[in-house]
Amino acid sequence: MGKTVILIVEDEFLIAQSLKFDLIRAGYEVRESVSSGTDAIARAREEIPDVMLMDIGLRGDMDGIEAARRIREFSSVVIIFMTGYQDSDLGDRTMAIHPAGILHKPIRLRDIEALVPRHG
Amino acid sequence: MCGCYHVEARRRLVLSLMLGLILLQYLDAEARMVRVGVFPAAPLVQSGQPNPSGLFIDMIEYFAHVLDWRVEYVNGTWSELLVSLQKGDIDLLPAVGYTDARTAIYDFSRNPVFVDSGVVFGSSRFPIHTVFDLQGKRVAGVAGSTFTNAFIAYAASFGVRCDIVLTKDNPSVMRSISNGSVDAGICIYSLGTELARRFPVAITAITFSPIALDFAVPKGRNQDLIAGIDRLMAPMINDPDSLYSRSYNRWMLPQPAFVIPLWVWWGIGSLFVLGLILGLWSITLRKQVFAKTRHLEAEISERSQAEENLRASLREKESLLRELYHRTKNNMAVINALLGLQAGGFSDARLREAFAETQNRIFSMALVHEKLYEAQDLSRINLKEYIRDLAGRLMVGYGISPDRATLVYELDDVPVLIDTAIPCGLILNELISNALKYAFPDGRKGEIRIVLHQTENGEIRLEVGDDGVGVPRGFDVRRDGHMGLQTVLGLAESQLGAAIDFDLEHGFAFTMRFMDDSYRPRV
Repeated sequence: MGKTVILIVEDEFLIAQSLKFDLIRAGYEVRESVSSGTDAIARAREEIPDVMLMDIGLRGDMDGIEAARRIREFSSVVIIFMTGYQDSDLGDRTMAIHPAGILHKPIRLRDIEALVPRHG
Repeated sequence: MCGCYHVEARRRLVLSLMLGLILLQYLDAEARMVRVGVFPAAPLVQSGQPNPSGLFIDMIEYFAHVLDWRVEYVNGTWSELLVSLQKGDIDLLPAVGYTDARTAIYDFSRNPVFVDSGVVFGSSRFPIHTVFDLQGKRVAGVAGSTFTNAFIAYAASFGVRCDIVLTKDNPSVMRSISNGSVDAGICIYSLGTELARRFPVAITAITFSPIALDFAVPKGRNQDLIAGIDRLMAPMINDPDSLYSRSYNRWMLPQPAFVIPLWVWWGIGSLFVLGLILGLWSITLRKQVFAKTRHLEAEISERSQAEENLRASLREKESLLRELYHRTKNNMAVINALLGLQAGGFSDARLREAFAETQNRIFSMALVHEKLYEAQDLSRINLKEYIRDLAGRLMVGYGISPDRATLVYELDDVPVLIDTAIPCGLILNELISNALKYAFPDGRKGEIRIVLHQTENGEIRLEVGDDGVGVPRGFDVRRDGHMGLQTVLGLAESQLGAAIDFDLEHGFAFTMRFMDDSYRPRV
């Protein structure tokens, strides 16, 4: 039984790094983080992770929801959204992707552990 | 003696004759004085001040001009003037009807100036169609007038008898008819039609005694006047362009009334209608303009109010944002203070150093918020000012004196967004801290150079370097760099999208080039 492979999509470098170290320490396999929706789609296609931790508020033209929607077209990867806005109106766009969960920053390890088993 | 007397008498006679001749000559040179009687009988004669007028007066003025008369007009009533003429108190009387009876008293000019006739005037109180309607009625006539006597004879010839009421002049006849004191009145046609304009009387069809009107002088006297008049009148009678003919036309013929042509009435009517339409149109337009103006005024007022509300809202937003930046900075300061307190509980120097590094990192972020709080533009800070403040603060924090490590700045004014400023601040903090900690060991002196440039296309170049001891040969930043340097790489490349470069030949130098376009302004 291999480790669950996680890909973090986060444009805040320090948050991505911090989360990565926490997840590795917790026993997950964490790939190199990406900071844009375009990179996230490419890496989802190439590396086929088990779980994607997707920040909604990515900078650039494509936000996390749009990136997830496109990924969902070819992949059934487990997607967990992360957001820094408590009152963000996620609405139908987010639900259409059928995410495993929506986590609010700051992200606590135990919230991820509750959603994602360490071993796939 | 006797001879002397005759001589003297002859001399006196000769002198008298000479004096008489001189006087005669003198008198001949004098203008002929002519006193002319004038009375109210327009349009033939109209006495009045300062000058009389009428057909006969035009003639008299002409005679006076040609014959060198000096005319003096004497006003009076017709009756008075007839007597005055007979007595010789006046020399000439115009418009005198020629009758056989009068030829015994006056001499007349030969050519009649106008042939007049008597006419009966009545009132609207009862109709007068023929002379028989006047049977037993009271009829007014001018005393001494030929026409008064002629009417009596005329009426009598039809067996009509009237009570004749004598008046002093023709206006009195008309006045009597008007006030009802008589039933009818006798008046000469020419004057009667003139007076009928002033009195409410009506002319009837009863006319009688046509009579030639001439100039008259006292019988046997003033023959020079009659001769002169006859001489001048004769050629004018049948000349249509003569003064007489023109004057006759002017006074005796009805003047053609000025008739406004029909097209003028149509024109005036059309203009009036057009004016009315234009007026109504103008009123309608004015109303529309007024309504539109009020609408616009209301709209302007609403917009002004909306703008004011917007400005107030903006001021409020700015105020709230400044407050937020201020509180964020203060909260970070509190976190720093907590970390400081926490660090104080450890004796391990490495642990305390780790705390201190973290405090510096938090300070670099707090400083961004402090600069934002102070900035005019709430979304950008000037990186130049930020760098000076941060570097100065780190120098003091690490206890490095300026004579040991000199900070050399080469900085442009570069405004950056808060999302760019935070990673820039963290990168600067790591690089300056590294230089201060490692570049100048053992009392070594040197300089730390910080360069900030922005090109015309907006690319920002940030360089931090020192002329210190540098890194060991074969050192690979990506491979061998500690957590601080890894953070610098990650922030620069991953977060800012910067191109980075290291110079490890002389001391340690880091350069990154990036655009401040990864983020959009949030406020």
